[in-house]
Amino acid sequence: MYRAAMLTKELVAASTEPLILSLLGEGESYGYALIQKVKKLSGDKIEWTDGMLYPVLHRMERRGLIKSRWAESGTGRKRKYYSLKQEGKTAMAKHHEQWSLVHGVLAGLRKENYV
Amino acid sequence: MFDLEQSIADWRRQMLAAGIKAPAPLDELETHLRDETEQQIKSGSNEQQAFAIAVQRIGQGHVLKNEFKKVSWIGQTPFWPVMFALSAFAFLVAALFFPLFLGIAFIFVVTASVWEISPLITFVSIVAISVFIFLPILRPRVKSWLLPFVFGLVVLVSAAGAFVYDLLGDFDDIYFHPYGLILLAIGASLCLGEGLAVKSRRQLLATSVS
Repeated sequence: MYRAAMLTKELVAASTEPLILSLLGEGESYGYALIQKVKKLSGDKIEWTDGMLYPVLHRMERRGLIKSRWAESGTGRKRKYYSLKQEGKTAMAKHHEQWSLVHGVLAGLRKENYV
Repeated sequence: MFDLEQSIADWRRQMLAAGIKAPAPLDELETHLRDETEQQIKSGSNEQQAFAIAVQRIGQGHVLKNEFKKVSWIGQTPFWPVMFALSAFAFLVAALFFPLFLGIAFIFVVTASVWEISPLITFVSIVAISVFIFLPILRPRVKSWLLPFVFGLVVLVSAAGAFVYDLLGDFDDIYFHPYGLILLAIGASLCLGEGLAVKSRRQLLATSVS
């Protein structure tokens, strides 16, 4: 789903959902904005292929993690906005906990290796 | 002269032809297409170039269709109620036919020597087919695809082994009746098929679009 030189396919697959949940954790958003945001936050290192984001969003919606609504934007264009549901917030907290654990272990090991 | 609205209408037709039939995803993709086109124009492209880049970035219709297809049933199908209904139906069928089935099995086993069918092979066949009959009830609890798959494989290999053994042995004392082989083949195929079905269902659930 991303075009990223630095991330492996496995890491890409594993990080898609937590990233979307975290982005939506900041407030409701729509597909195009999510892509732009992740691109900006990663310094252009993570670039999701545009069309592929929507099947993922739809899957997460069907799994009850997020919900959507159609609304008119400021420019008058109709957009589908996504937001987190309670299940999504729980899943996001779980993801953060797990990723922090992995990050902590990796950081600790790197420190040991350089000392 | 490039007409953006006409081009978007053409793009929608192409997406529809590629199989994205549901209007909601198509509308959403169109909004994305318009956003990206607008962004490209702001970045300095002319309208035609901007649209071409946006179309390329959004991807081909058949690829998107496949991705949407992967998620189309998740959450939409009331999995548990359907499985419950299937199980109930299977239970009814099993309740109606299982005594008959057991009766046939009993006759097979008792008369095995007369029919020259191995009682062991008949028993294994009956078990293999019974497992399949009761699978709709067991299915929601079957977490591992290996269980039915390995069972089917063992039955199939045993059948092949027994058949070869008989062929290599004394032809006047064929113990492996063709009906036994058919029973074994049916049981094994059903279990192997179920194993593969469980595996593909698990893969589908685990698939992350990447």
